Amino acid sequence: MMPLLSRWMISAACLYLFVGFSAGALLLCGYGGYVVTDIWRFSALHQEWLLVGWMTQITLGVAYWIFPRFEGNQRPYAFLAYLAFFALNLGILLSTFCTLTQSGLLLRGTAHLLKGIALLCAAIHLWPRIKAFRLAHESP
Amino acid sequence: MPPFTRYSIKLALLYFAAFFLGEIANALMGLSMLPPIPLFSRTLLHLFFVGGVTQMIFGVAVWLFPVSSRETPRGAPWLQIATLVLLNGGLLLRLITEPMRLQGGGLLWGRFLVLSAALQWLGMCAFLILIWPRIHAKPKKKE
Repeated sequence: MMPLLSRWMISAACLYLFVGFSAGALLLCGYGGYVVTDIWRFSALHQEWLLVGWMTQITLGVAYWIFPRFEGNQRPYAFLAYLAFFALNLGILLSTFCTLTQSGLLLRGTAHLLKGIALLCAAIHLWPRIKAFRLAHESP
Repeated sequence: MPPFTRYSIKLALLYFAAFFLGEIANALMGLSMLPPIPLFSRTLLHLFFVGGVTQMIFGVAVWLFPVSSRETPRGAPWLQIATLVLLNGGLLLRLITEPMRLQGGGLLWGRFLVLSAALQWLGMCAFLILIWPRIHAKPKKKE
């Protein structure tokens, strides 16, 4: 069964896929000569939503679900994975806000910091789970 | 491995190969070792990220995610076909039309580019309709 956090991450990734592809389609219409006013500022957001929001997040969501677990079906330090989910999405939303409002470096830096913290938390959580599956008949 | 997954992963590998061949061609053109062909980095990047990475994710998701119903465990077959046809049709149309348009081609090429955007967007929507119920599928109680 897919755990709750994976469902959250994959759902959020799908939402970013939708908005990222929609922005990309509008940009392509712009290149085609059908310029939608002010669409060009979405170029950076199109990349952010798809590379970080979609690809990175769906990868982390599936990894949290499917990587080997420990005895008793445990995912140790699961709070780090939850922290990664919240920090990553807060970082993307803050980046979106900064781009749309053309905010300054401090907010933009905070957005990058949040995304960095998210990836660090995800890496610390997943690292011990990168191990061989143990079959039921194998001794510990 | 279901047919959708097999097709999408094979196509993704072809797009990866096409991206790297395109990049090699771009490098050789830079060294004047190849006659100029209109290959734009942005078009090639989309072959990599949309045709390669995203399509590989689509294929693995359809294979791996929990099944939502007994009748169509991996979603409606027509949605799977629509995803593959629309996404790849749109991407291949972009591969042809974007260089023509950016080299000063007329508005007709622009219209084809808009059509390419619409096809890819619809392909993405078909995938989301296919996969969304499977993300939220409730586990069935054992009888």
